[in-house]
Amino acid sequence: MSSLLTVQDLCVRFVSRRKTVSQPLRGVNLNLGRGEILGIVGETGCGKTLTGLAILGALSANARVSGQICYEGQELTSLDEQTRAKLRGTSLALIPQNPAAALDPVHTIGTQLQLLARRHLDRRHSAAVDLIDSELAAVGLTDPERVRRSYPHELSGGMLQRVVIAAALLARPRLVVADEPTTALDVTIERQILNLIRDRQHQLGVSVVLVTHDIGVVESTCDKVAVLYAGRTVEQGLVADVLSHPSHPYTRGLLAALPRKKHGDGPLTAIPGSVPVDTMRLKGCAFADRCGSVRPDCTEGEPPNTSVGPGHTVECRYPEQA
Amino acid sequence: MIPLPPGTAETAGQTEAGDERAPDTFELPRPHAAFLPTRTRRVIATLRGDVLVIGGGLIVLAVIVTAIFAPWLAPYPGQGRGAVDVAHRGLAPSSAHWFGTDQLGRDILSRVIFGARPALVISVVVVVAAVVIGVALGSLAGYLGGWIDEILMRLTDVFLAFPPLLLTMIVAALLGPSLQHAVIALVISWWPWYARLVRTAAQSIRQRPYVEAARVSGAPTRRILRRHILRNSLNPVIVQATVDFGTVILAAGALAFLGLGAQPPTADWGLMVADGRTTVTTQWWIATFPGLAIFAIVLGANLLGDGLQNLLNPRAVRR
Repeated sequence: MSSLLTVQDLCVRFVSRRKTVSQPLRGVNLNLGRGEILGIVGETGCGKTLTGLAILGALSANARVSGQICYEGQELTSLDEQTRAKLRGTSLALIPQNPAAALDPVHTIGTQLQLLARRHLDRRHSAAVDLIDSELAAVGLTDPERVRRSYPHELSGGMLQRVVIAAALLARPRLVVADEPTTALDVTIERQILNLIRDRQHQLGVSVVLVTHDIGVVESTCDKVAVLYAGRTVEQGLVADVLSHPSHPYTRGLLAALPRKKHGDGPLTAIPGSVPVDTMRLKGCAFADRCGSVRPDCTEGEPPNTSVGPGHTVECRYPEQA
Repeated sequence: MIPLPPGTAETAGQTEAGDERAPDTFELPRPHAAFLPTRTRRVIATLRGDVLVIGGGLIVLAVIVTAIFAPWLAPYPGQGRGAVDVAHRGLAPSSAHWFGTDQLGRDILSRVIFGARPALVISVVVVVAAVVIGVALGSLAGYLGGWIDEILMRLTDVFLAFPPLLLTMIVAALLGPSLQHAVIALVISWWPWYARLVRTAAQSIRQRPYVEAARVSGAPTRRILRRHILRNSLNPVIVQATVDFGTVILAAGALAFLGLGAQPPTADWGLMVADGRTTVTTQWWIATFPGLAIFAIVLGANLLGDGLQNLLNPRAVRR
């Protein structure tokens, strides 16, 4: 399978008055093929959203990016802002975290979708309306015309989420970054929205980067998974491989913390401690002080990237062989 | 319509069937007067029962109508334009001259009616010019930030450091007394307020997720400024402009009163108040009626401005 997006050793740091004030991404590696869904999983502050924004090239002005983001053989980090802006929305799109905030409250849904349609597809008014209506219907909104005429505050959270999915797919992008698309919704709607994303992804053949903190979502929705911890990819591979043979202690911890029927009523296992705050002064493995199977040399030097199976890599000095 | 594959149809079906949760589409407001566009319905719904706004609007409307139809409304249109009638000077209000006559025998009512013209022209020109300059510079400063913001805001600081009326008087006096110069002076001291207002709004709006979403979807800066920043920061500007509409008339009246604005024989309210000030104890009507006209338009503009604040907020449709 040819790969659509390859991210190599992506680092992002924020500068203020020419001094680095924080470095939230310290080495993210991703690999995504055409028509695949890649789940990026990790806890709050591990750099999931930032990775998505870095791929889209939508970081704030004081961010400094190093490493490679290779999209269809094109190195995105070396492109100028104008070319990247052209790429966004046409080839790359974002499904934002909070749809209620991501839509402008003073314009109707129709107006906002038309801006997108006309900008990227060069369609005339009536053609754009037809396209918008069919796209809204395709995301399961039963009365597209009324949705078009509504302002964002007149729609429910689930409907707005469908609207922003329609907006992201309107220009038929090749790659969509879905930034925790279900955090604002309750569980029944979450299931529907995830099914919707997967269905549309199948129909249109787009690739999706699904950012989530729920490894259960990854299991049910994604083809591949990348586990992020403190701004690094600690483990990645096919969902089936990673979840059945988790090799990094952090991944094992995440899976152990997941409630499952077969475990009975026993207490859930938690990972002790919390995410390191100052990642800039870290030596060695960032997970060392929380790791259950830590060894003395884990704090000396960065852990090597080792392959534990086909397409399955792990950043750990002593990967566990399950 | 794109044919729905089984998966999607199923999802849509679930939504349609609905369990405890009402189906999504039912949460839309049911149109109760479908023949009117949404915006018109919204305006009517908000206006209904708000006596103060309607009153303010009527006053402003009355002044506009008066200004347009002055020659037909005034009993002595010639005197409204400045013709004198020395034989009838200083007459108290009567059935022939409802508001009395001034020291040159001109009918006060006619001159108050004609006075609506310069008042409206000045206030509209000043407010529009100040809004255009202020909004353009303010949104640039607020959205772009950095050194552009720094330069523009230090510039407004210079203007805002002076009391507005004093600054207006200084500029008007330097340029020489005339109506045009008074307008220029008023614009110079008014635009920085709009620049500040819009800059503050733009600064908070540029960080909203929908602006980020627009940037992520590839929108050029120009369009983000116009479609999102400007549209979302416009409401306070419109409210401020409506109130300023009255305030500018007041300031223009003050300038005319001091001899720095409109020049005789123009029928200008400020000028008329100045004419009548020496005889206000004996011939009270000369200064009182133009003064009341200024009072009425300022009051009307303020009431309308307050009402618009509610009207322009799409969330405050029903109270």
